[in-house]
Amino acid sequence: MNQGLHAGGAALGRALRALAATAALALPFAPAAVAEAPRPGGKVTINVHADAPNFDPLASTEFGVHSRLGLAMNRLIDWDTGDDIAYGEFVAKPALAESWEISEDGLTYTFHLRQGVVWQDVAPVSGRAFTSADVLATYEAMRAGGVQKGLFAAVDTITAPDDHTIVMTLKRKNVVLLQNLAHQNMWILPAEAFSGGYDRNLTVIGTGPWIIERNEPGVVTHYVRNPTYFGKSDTGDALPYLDEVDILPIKDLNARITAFRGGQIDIWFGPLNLTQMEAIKAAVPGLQDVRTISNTQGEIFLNPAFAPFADLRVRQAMNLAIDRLAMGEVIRGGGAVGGVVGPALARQTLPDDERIALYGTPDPEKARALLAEAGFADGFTFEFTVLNYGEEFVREAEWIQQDLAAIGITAEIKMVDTVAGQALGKEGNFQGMYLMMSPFAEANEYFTTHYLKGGIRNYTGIDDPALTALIEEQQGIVDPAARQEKIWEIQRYIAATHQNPLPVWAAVLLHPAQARVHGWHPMLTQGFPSLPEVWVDQ
Amino acid sequence: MTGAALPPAVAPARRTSRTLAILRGLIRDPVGCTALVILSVVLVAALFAPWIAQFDPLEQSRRMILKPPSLTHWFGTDDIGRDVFSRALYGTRVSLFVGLMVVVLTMSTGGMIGMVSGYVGGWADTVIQRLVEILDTVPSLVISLFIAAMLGPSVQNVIIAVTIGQFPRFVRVIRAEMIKVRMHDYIAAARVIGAPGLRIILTHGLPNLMPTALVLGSLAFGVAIMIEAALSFLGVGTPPPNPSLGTMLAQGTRFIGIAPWLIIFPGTMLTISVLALNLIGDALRDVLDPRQR
Repeated sequence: MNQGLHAGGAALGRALRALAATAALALPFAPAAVAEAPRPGGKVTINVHADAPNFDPLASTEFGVHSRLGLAMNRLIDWDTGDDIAYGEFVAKPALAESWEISEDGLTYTFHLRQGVVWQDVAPVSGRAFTSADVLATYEAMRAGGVQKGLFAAVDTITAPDDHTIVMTLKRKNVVLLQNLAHQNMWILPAEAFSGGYDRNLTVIGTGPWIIERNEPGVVTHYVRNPTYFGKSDTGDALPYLDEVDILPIKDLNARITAFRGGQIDIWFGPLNLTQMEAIKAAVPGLQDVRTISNTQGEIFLNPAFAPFADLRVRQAMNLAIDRLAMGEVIRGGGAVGGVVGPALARQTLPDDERIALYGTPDPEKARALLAEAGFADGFTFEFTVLNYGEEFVREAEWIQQDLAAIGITAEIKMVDTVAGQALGKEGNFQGMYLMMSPFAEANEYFTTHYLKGGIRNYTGIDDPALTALIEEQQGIVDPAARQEKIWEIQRYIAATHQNPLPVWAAVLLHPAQARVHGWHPMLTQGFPSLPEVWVDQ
Repeated sequence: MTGAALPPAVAPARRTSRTLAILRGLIRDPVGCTALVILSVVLVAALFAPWIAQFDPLEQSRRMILKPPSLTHWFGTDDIGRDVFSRALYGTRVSLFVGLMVVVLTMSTGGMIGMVSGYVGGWADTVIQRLVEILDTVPSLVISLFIAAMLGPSVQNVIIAVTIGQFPRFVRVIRAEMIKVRMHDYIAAARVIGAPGLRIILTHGLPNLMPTALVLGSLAFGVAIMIEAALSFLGVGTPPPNPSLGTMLAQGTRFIGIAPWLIIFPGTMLTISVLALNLIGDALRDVLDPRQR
């Protein structure tokens, strides 16, 4: 690894610059240094570029639904946010569960529910007290037929010994259970939602910081402050600070940009590229240029059924050919070198210097030597299937194509749409394939999807008993530090033994906000978890 | 006085003199002449692109990202350091090739089906025309887009997609012209002496339909270039890294505020190519239409 870092002065310089950039980007933009006391009141407007087709959290995984429900509902456990927490980093925060205990064998979780919580004053629930029966009803319905069913795969039983306790027993250890319960779809509903008391497609009753006052598809979802919300700030202030929130479903990108520039939108949600951001910045004085690293990354899958890719040295050579740092800087304007576990998962991906040494230090000379060793001194030609994720992604593929050409490998680009490309991946019907990986929120998701036999992203057919054992071992480690070490060990093993797929780049994500907005921390999960602590200049 | 007085087939010498006459007519027409000159310049530039272009259109010069036009890079460079002038030349080559192939294919297949449909008449004509009308109800760009998306991005698939999109127009117009030609006495005479239908179509019908086909072809050439550009703009046309004017425009839109040369030069090449072809089409119509003389 160090050898890689010393490969060239230019590469080292770029690596160090990227290291600094990565460190800066790993955390959301820090607010102004002068701390002001939050001011209650006011209103913010967010754009979410889709309507909610309904409000039933069990029926849909759509962001239009869950981003709206997040303002009115709570989960048992939430994603914490703050200046010291990275965009994709899960830090468990008590929500409806005030605390929890895990048995020594890791198979029993006991959750102590927050007392004094009441449902929003909406009929027919009308402000009654929240109890464990609500949690039980919600989880039973989810396990029976909700979109969340898979998140309970390791759960054996769920019981409620009293009004304020929930006990879960597991079939096997599952270190990601807390994160599963904090999943963006895991909203807790009142028991009446499952006994025919009201239509959960149309009515939203939660315990969250705001109450939906009206929802007009195509126009606005309007929220007003829930006076009975239990949340408190670190300084003991009653949350939320904002009296009102509007979510505007502006679907056209240019219309969204115009609305933001005109001050109609305070917080941006959704795709935006750097060129558009520059245009917005030029028009909006004091704009908060909030940037994070995307929790998706480009990955090159090399099918071992194609003879050259069966040789580890060829895969290593290709890895050494790609100048990722320059590519990310030129095409994406920022971001971070990819990893076996993507860089958005700041605590789980390999440390920046190690990841850059592994994947961000091109060495064409060494690459050519490896190719020669593998019997491909004259290079070879392969079909490079590229999924069409837009102009910037295609430009990355062209960049990679030229880097590979420099070591004698001709990549003939074949563009396919994303659905067709994923089908080709599942069928193993490709030679080399470049795609954007799913937005995973946990290292375990990377491992199980990519490297276990039958994994949905195991497009290269990896079936390595030693690796499988390592993956299963990390699933049972409860101690966070020990698990982090094991997760790193797995990534090093994959880099040394498989080098497939080749992680490429995780782009910078832009979340601009108007200058008057304070305390805004974008987070990977839907539902805007930092919004209760957002306040605005009046 | 009538068609019966015409020879059954146009002799080679007559054909050459007629081609020259058309060319002379075009040159005498100020608009046609200007368009012909412009198109010739574009054609020469595209054909000799490997000798004119100073850079490989695919070569990325990573120290020359988004450089404005200069003496070294006449049209500037793109977002990964490729020379826009070289790419525009090669892109024009792709556009002209697609246009030419579409014209050849639509003229040969669409023209043949139109001639057969118009000559044979009866149920065959009815069936062909209903099928063509079905195709014609959908805008040609939508048909081309659908087919290109199904087949996947490649120059070959773009040619197929655009040809299918342009095909109904050829069938309809050629069929209508063939019906007119069919009424002439020389066709009746050929039938009387027992000439087979295919021979009549090829030796009597085809030469008389050529002027119409030429005008249609020149207009279709321009339309094909526009549709190729549109398909490439939408990501289902010419695949990367090969340049095409449409792809270049699509790439350039991201930088319109900071690097307008990425849009201006390919856009200008596209505009003048299509404009020249359309003007030539108009001029050809004037030259070939006796009523316009």
